[in-house]
This record gives sequence, C-alpha cells and structure tokens, in this order.
Amino acid sequence: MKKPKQSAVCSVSTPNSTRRATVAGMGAAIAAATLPIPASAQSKDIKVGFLLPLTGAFAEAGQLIKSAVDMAVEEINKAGGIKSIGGRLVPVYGNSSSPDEANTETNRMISTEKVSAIVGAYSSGATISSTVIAERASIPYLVPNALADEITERGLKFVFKTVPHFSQFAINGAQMVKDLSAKAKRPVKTVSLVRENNFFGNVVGKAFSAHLGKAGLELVKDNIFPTNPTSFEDIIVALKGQNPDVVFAAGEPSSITLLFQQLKELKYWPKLGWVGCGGGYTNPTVVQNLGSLAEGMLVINDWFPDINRPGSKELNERFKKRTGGKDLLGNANTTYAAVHILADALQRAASPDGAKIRDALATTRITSGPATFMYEQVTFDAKGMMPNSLLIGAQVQKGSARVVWPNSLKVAEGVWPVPAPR
Amino acid sequence: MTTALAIQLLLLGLLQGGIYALVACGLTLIYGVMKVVNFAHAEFLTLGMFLAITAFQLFGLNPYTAAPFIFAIVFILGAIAQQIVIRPALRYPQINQMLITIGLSILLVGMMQLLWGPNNQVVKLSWARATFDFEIAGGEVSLSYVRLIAAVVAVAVAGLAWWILKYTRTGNAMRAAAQNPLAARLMGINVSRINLLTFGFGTGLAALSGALISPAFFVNPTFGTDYFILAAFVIVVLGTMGNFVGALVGGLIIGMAEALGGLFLGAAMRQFVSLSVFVIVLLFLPRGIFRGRMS
Amino acid sequence: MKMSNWLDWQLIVSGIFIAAIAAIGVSSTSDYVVQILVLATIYAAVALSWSIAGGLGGLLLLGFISFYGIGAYTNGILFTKYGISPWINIVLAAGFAGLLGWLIAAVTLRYELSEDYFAMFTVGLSQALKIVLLNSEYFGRATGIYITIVKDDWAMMSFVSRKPYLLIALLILVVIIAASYWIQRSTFGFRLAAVRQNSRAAEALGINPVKTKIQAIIVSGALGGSVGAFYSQFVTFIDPKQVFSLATNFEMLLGAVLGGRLTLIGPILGAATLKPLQDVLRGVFGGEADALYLVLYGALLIVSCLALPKGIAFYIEKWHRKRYGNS
Repeated sequence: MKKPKQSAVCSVSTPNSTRRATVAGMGAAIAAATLPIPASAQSKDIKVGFLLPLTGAFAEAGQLIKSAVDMAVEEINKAGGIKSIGGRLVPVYGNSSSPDEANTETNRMISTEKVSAIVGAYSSGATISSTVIAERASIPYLVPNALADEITERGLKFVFKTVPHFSQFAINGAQMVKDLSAKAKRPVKTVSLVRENNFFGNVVGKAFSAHLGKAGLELVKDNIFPTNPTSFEDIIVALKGQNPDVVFAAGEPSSITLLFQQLKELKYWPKLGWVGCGGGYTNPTVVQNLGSLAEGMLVINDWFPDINRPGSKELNERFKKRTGGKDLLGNANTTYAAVHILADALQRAASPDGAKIRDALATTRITSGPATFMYEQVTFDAKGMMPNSLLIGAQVQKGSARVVWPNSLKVAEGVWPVPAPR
Repeated sequence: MTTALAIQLLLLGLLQGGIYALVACGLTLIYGVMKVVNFAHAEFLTLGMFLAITAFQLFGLNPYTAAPFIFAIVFILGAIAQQIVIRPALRYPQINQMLITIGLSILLVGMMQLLWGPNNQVVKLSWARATFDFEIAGGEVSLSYVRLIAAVVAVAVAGLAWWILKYTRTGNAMRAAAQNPLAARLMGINVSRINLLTFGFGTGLAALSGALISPAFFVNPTFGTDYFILAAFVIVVLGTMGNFVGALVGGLIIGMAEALGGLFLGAAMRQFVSLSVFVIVLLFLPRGIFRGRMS
Repeated sequence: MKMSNWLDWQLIVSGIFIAAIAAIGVSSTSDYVVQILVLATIYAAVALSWSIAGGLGGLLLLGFISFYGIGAYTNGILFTKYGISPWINIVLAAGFAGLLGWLIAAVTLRYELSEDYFAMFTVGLSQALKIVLLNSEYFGRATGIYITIVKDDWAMMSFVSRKPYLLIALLILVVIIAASYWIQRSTFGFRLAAVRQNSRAAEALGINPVKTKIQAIIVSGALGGSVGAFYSQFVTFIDPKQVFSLATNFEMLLGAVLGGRLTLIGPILGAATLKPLQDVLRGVFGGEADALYLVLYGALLIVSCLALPKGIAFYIEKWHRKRYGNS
C-alpha cells in the first residue's frame, strides 16, 4: 500500500540548486492536490499522528498495523466520530524506520499537520527520541507498540504506554510453566535463555535474570546469539550441556526459522518445553515455514486471535477479510486498541487541546467497549503505564496458536511436556 | 564439552567453510581479473536461492537438479550487468567503482523484493532436516544432509573452477589478464571479453552456492548481505585478494574459526571472530596467506 | 579574496549558502523544515570532512562511519554518565576520532597496502567496532544510549526548539569549510594533491607520503567525529546499528562523490541535495518494504556515478573557468 502523499517535501528553496526547487514545487503541488481538508475551511476533525515503520526492515509489520488503524478509524467515524467535539478522527501517517526519521516526522505532524495526539512508534529507539519532541510541544503520545522501559521512566508527563512492562514476560512466563508443570505433575526448576543480541533480546534477558529467582526457578544460562548467525550449533550444543527443564527464547523471525531447523538436525529439545517470547515467535510466516517443526511451540505475547474473550474472534475475522487473510497480530492488535483508547480520551476531553487530552488519558478507566478484546481494564498509573496488563500463553497446535494459559482465557489444553517436533 | 560434541562443532564449521569457500571464490576471481570489489556479490547468491525456490515451487525441481541451470541463468545476467554497469566504470576512480557496485547491490535487493516479496521463504524439501549420524569418541555426531551436500558440491565446483582456470585456454587468459592486463592485451587477449566472462562466471558461482544452500536455510532479499557478505570479504582478504586457492583455503579456515569462536567465546562473538581475523590479517599479513600471489 | 579564484569563489558561495539556510531556518515556523535542514547540514559536514582524506588526499577511506560513531558515543557516554557538556564533548570526540584515525593510518600505511585493502580494512573495522559496542554493557549494548531533554540549557546544548541546533550545526559546517579552505591553500594541501596524483613523484619532491596520508586521515577523522558527537545530542538516541551503519556510511560518501570530492563546494552540494531527495523518493515510492524505492535509488546511484564521475562541481568549475578565465 502506498504511503499517502501528505509527506510532501517542505517548501524550501535554496540558491545553487534548481533540482531542489523543482522537487519543492512538485511537493507543493502534491500537497495541494491531496490535502483532504481545504485550507479555508474550519474543521472540527481531530488529527492524530501515527508513527509506523512504513518502509524498511519492519515495513511489513508497519503496513499491517496501518490496516488495523484504518479499520479502527473507520469504525469510530462510522459511529459518529468524536461526538463531544463534533468531528471525525483523521489519521496522519509518518514513517518511523529510524530515530532520525521518527523525529522528522514527529516535527512535521506537530508543526505542519497540527495533530492533537500521536501514537507510535514501533521501535524503541524511535519512540524514545520522538516522545521527547512531543513532550516539549505538549502533545500527548500513546505507545502501544514499543517496549523500552525508558519510554515511561523519564518523568515525561505526556507519554502513555499500553505495552506491558517487559518484566511481565518473565513473571507471566514463569507462572505459566509452573502451572502447566503442576497440572502435568512434573517438576520444573531449571531454565535456559536463548535470545538474540538486539534490543528486545537484551531487555527480555534482563527481565528473566531479575525475576526467575523470585518465581522459584533457576536460570542456568543466558545464551546470547548475534543477529544473523549462519549456524546455531554452538547454542544448541551448549543447551545440551545445560540440560534445562524449560527454554525461554526471543528472536527475530529469521533467527527462529534457522534455529528450529537446526534443533531438529542436531536433535535437541528441552525436557519440558520451549517458550518463545514476543513478536518473532507469533509471526505467521515463521509458523508456516517451519511446518511441523513449530508444533508444540509455546509463545507468550499479549494477545492471540484464538482466545477465550468475547469479540476477539469476530474482530480477527473482520480484519482478515480486510487484509486478505492476515491475522490481527504483531502489534496491529495493540495499536487497534490504542485508537479506541484514544478516541475514548478525546471524547472525554471534548477538545483538540493537547493538555486536556493528556489529562483525559491520565484518568482513563475503560472496562467495556472495543478495547476490551485486548485488556480487561485500561487505566494508567502516574508514570503513564498500564498496570493491569497481562501476557498470555499460547501453544502452536496443528499449525495455529491457541491460548492455553491462563485458565480464564484458554481455548485449548496445553500439551506439556512438549514432545520434540517431528 | 565432550569430544563428540567438539567434533560435531568442528565438522559443522568445516561444512560451513566449504560453502563460504565457493562464495568467496567467485568474489576473489572478479577482483583478481577486473580489480573490482563486487559489493553486489551477495545479491547474486540471494538471487540463486530465489531461483532455486521458484524452480521448486513451479516445476518441482529440487535445488540440486536446478543448480546448473541457475548457474547458466545468472552467468548471463551477470554478464549483462557487467556490460551495462561495470564496464563503463572501469576507467573511473576506485571510489566510483565501489559506489557503483554498491548501487547495483541496492538495485538487486529492490528487484528481488519486487519479484518475490520481503518475507522469508523456504524450500520444503521433505528430507531437508534429515541427518547423517555416526558414532565417534563415545558420542553421536549428526550432520544434516543438505549442509553436507552443499559443502561437498561447493568444494567440488570450486575445484572444477580451479582446474578450468589452470588448464583451459580461457582460464589461462583470465589469469593472464589478472596478472597484467596490458601485457595480456599485447599478447592478443581480448580483455573486454575476458572481463565479461569473468564477471558472469564469478556471479554464476555465487548463485550456484545459493542454490546449493537453499534447503539448509531460508531466503529473503537481504539474506546474502545479512549472512554471507562479511565472511566472503574476510575470506577473500585472508586468502589473498585474487587468489582462487586462497579463497578455498580461507573459506575452510574461517568456517572453523567461527565454530571455534562460538565454542570458546560464546555464540554472540561468532562474527567478532571473523572480523578480528580480518583486521589482524590486514595488519600482519596484509597480502593474505598466499602473500600477493594470484594462482 | 577574488571571485575569479575558484577556491575563493567556492568559499563565498558556501558562505552565502549557509547564510541562506540560517535565514530560512530561523524564520521558519515549522520545526519540520528545521529538522530537515539540520540533517542535511550534518550530512554535508560529514561529506566535507571525508573529502579531506578521501577527496583531496585521494585515499580510499571507505569505512568513514567509524569516526562518526565514535564521536556519537563519546558524547553519548560522557553526557549521560558523567554530565559533561556536549560543547566539550564535541572537542573530545574530535580528539578520540583523530586518535582512531592515527591508529588506523599508522598501522595500515606502513605496509603500502593497496587501496582496496585499505578500503576493506576501514569497512571491516567499522563493523568490528559495531560488534564490540553491541556486546559491551558499559556502552549500552543493543539498547543504546538515550538523552532526555525537556527544557533549554545552553551550557548543556539542550534545546526545546530545533532552531538552535541548526545554528550549531551550521557553525560546525563553517569550521569544517574553513578547515578545507585553509588546507587547500596551504602547503599541506599541496602535499596532499601531490601524493594523490603521484606518490612516487611526490617523494622525489621531498614529500613524505606516509606522513601526509596519516595527517589527512587524522584531520578527516577528527572532523567526522565532532559531527557525530553533535548528531547524538541532536537525535537523542543512538545505538550501534544506527551510528555504525554501512548504509548511512555509503550515503554520506555518495554525497561527497556525486558533488565532487576534490572541491570545497562539491560535498556540501552533494550531501545537502541528496539527503532531502532521498527522503522525498522514500516518501513517494517507499510503500511496502521499500522495493520500488530501492530499485530507483540503486539505479540513481549507478547512473549518477556513471554520468558524473567527477561530480557536479566539475561542471560548476568549468563554468567558472569560462566566466572568469583561468586564474
């Protein structure tokens, strides 16, 4: 899907460069032709900026999230828009493939587009830097898809995050394996980590190191691998030596694919099971490519379509119809919910003013409505974090991820211990 | 760490090295004859992998059967690229040549993405994960067939290429052009044609490697750059830039070095090992292990 | 200073260019415009820094981003962990980067490595540095270093508005322009040109090629490092992948080469034009995972390198010669 042409180049003309002037002229023409709101009209529509990685390495995720945002916006506007203001919700998209770009786009959204709020930015680095810009301009910034602690640990007043604290991976993950083991009447004690040496891998590693002990589990080793290794043999051989009950893992789809291929080749499987944390492990391409190798793999994430919550399945089906078969995964779900959370705040703020919206967000209390497909309850604490977020466990059974933990949300029984993939 | 496990790791390293070797051979050949550092080399590898996957999905051909055809196709494509892009650049300064091959690399990644999409794809060969197992030193060693075949065929092809270089007229012409283009021209060798053949041959070798390894990995447009290019450059330098045998030997060395690095320093330092070898070789053995000779 | 002198003419035009950017930036009501101008200025500054060793010196200093990255981390660490002002860090970064340059030069040049080896070495080194930082807890590993600024503090180079950053960036560019100008007029510049054109002949003239090359790399590296330090303060978040990125590296060099690496005005023109052009291209053609953008960008790279081997400045110089005659 093409990026909307609103990202026209600035109307700058500098001496010594006719090329620049031509491009500027082109940009101005494109902007004039495609701006949906004529400059003369006084509109009551609320503009919200969405920072997504629309190009580059994460473009696929970015485009999926964009579809989810479009769907949410359509639903909101069909139901009357932001009724207290009397206008529609209008999304303004910006590219956040790098911190540089995210900053530039944030500036554009604030100065040129005059958005009332921003949602973004997928990668933690881009989010960390662009939230500062929004804070300075007193524009509220909702983060439904970036993980770093720093986002809400810097005392910024205008930043809100719906993503669970990464310690939840360790806390909920540990609880899940303990529950599953208790049910299967098998003891669980030792854990090994297998994680990529990237941002997410690092924070997950820290989380597990800090919390496993408190859960009564023992971390045998934190196995770290570089991005894009041609072979995982050293990790797998090390795992054989460590012989843990459970392996917790995090990584990018490419690494996961290769790792699982080699787990089969080198004939290793943990005693009880393998639990993947986060995005890469829920990537449908990964599951598809691995085929039977993925059978039995457990995944912890914030949501799965096959979950025991009212409205979830229907929502996923609607999204699939819209995108030609793609599930509402990979932060498309959290961002979709974020649009509704924001709409709720806008409704209560009854104003496009950033400070008022910020206050409305701070006093959010949602217990019903569209956002509850993901969260039982939405509130924000003093730091802007959502204290009641929970991570859920699913297992790949016959090719699709079905929620098996916690009991209140499960749709299938977890197979535990997990037999080695055939 | 049992002996059997250590042997397992080292053997896998050796297999990886064999694959690296073939990739590096093409790169070093192009450098040797044309003095051009082909920054787009990895993309030809990736192209070979994509062609293998397409052959499998459309015609049910397994990658090993398709490999010679893939070599031929990319040979031609490489030759075309050489004529249009590389040849005019040869009279320009080095930095321009480098930026042009970098541009070619970006262009190829874009084209592959347009044709095949950005996602990972695999060759769903039914026996892709089967292993050759044997007992040694009181333990079991498992080597996956696809990696084994890839490495063995790769080394065989490299050997064949070496033979071609040493014993055929065209091969000798290439070596002559590598050693002294002016003298070669004076001897009646059509250096332009040699360049064309060399580039096609080198990139064809890269694509062939790609086809061979496709069942053992997965493909996406940036696979070559992400997984192989750094090692390829390290090996070319280690084995002496332009030295074919050096690339072969260097490949095996680096494959083992990475395995050892992973074994002793931990997986996270794997790439650091290759890069350290790279930096150290350039500092202390700047002409590579064959000290500047081009065989 | 005479307009008929090519170098002086470039200096004057550069000065006008900078003044114009400053005027546009300061008077602009859009932070977006200012942001773009700052990034273009940064790229221009790096390109010009590189051109001293890579252009005037003729050295194939391909992996230039090592200096930039070192500079960025210098400020990142010193500012966040020790509270040292970025004003000081920029100078310190120049020092560290210059030191790295000296190390690289001293170690590689004594072998008379061929250009290609030298190029490969610098590229390999940049990636080695990236991996070292990725694995270092002190330097933040893959989680990087972030800087939080919510109010103005001149002493700490922290501003709410983007405009002071533009002025500082332009100031840095001015310093680098002055350096390049001065070098091109000095005996050092003469030595660089001599070594670039013919190392043996230069030696015969009594010039020490190795020493000259070392000096060039130190200067280029130091300047590049200082820009990197400023960059980290401006962007407020750095990680190894970003500031040691080969893609960024080649983008910056491309600006210098396409603009004309042997000139004063070339790198500025090239970088300042290329960066916004890239952003526009990406905006229009970016779409799903960049495919079309990559094809166009790659093709653009190839075509412009083939069509403009000496850079745009070559043609400007020709025009200048026609206009003012030989001087």
